[in-house]
Amino acid sequence: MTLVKDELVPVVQAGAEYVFHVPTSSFYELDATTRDVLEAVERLDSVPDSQLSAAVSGSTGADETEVTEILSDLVKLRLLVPRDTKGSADTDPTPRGTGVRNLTLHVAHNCNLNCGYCYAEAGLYKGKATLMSVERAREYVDWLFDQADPDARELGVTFFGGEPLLNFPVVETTVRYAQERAQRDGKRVRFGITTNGTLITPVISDFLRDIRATVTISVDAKGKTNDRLRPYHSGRGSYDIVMDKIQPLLESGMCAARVTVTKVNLNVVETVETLLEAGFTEVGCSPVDAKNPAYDLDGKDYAELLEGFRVLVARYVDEAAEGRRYGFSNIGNILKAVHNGHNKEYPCGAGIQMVAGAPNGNMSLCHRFVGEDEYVLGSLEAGGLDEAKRKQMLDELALKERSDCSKCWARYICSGGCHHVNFLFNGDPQKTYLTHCDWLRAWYRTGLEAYAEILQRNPAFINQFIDPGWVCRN
Amino acid sequence: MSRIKPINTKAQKIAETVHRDVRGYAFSDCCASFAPGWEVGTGDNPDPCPWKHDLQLCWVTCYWMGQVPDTNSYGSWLDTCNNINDDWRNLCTIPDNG
Ligand code: SF4
Ligand code: SF4
Repeated sequence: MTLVKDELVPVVQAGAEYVFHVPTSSFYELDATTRDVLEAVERLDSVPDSQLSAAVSGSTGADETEVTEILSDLVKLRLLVPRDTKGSADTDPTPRGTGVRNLTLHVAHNCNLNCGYCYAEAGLYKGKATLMSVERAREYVDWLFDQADPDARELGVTFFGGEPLLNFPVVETTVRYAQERAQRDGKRVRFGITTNGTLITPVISDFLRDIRATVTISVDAKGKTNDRLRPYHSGRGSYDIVMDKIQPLLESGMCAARVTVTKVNLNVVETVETLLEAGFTEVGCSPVDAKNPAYDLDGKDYAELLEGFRVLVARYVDEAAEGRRYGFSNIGNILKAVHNGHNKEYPCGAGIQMVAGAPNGNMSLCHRFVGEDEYVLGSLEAGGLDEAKRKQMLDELALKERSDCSKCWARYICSGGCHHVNFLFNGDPQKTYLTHCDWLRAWYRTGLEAYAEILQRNPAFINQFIDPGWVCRN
Repeated sequence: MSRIKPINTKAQKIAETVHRDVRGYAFSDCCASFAPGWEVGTGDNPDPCPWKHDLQLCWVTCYWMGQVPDTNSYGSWLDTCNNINDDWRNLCTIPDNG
């Protein structure tokens, strides 16, 4: 047996040294001697274990008894491992073969806006404009409750589109129906809606408040820039109208914003600041994947985006040092992953605890796969999910099948990236879209640094805001 | 482990596991390594203290009888000590169960 350094990512933050252990996603602070010992072990590659303490002591100048103790601790923490087990991981168990807990209902395949980058082609999803019928929506709700695991105490329904509020009567009836069903089954049901905000009325605001929905408004920037990206079919801009309509919801602190970042609105710092000031509680940014050079970011744009994100992270950390939470969701989510040491086989819940239901009764891997026949996992007509197909798809999508990711240090946090992005660019969700990866790794590293800095400046913040009890509204 | 500090939840878990799963390689400060019972695996037992392992596990899984309380006469001897950290003082008292 020869001990070697396991896969570690060194992180330096304000003079302190850390290592992130890739196979377990555990994170340690080290003193300088320990760092020297680790480096020496790497240098002294072929020294037999029995002579390692002496050799490391000779090479670092540290006292041999001390070195022995450090080596033993490093072995216990698996930071030093026998060569043949290097990189072998401990992934978190994935709740597979269990019931779906979150259903995304596509209540309207149509949209009153005409965003140039929309992956669903103005909400149509490769089909004709359709609204989901009340009966269909009820069938979905019944299916969700019928197949739920007995120990699933809370189920979720997200209204999605196109623009779901084009079909508000169905949203309303479905919510009431699901609430009744939940009461009968002794479960809770939670609602979410992702909307462009243009159709919100005082009645709808009251309704959403009443059911305590998680409301996500798609908005891309302030004023004119948003209007270039998110116009009506007539070409008229939507920003002022949206901000006016959602005012009551903003005042109740109920809205999160989802910003799609394109070449046109790369100034994320200004966007996030403006939207938080306007009253959004959270703002999350996601780079567009439109397969259209007018919108998709190139290498230079990604560098600029990372710069912007880092400015926002610095702001987040400064606020955290004062015990306040800055609503930049992207970093909040990474900090949670770092804190818990997420070590996942799958990037998201698609097909695992979450599926999407189309107006025609077909259920897909997730909302973005609606309209792609190959990724239909079942249908109401057939009585639910085709479990054999679901299993096969999940087996294929598991991280361990991704040879592209097998050498990447971020693989257990990222887990191979969004299936839909991979599908869109490579025609197959299993084939990693590597163009993003340098960016992703730089971003995850920023997350590790931010975590370390918050621990230095205000460790109580982590327990208060990042610990599992606190649920992010995205 | 003063030179390496686990800083996220996962690292803390691993560090704790290491302390618990002693099996002859390490021991905590409060007990010598030859005390009986400490070397039995303690998979489900969250207490890093080998003392408790002696007291709770020894008579079930270990041939060594040296520290086994008289569980025949005092079947509920451990009831006053649900949590070794908080209740250790009670270990010295035999509950008066009439
Ligand atoms: S960053 Fe890229 S290579 Fe690394 S896990 Fe994610 S998708 Fe795979
Ligand atoms: S596949 Fe992509 S779009 Fe679908 S749920 Fe996962 S991360 Fe989201």
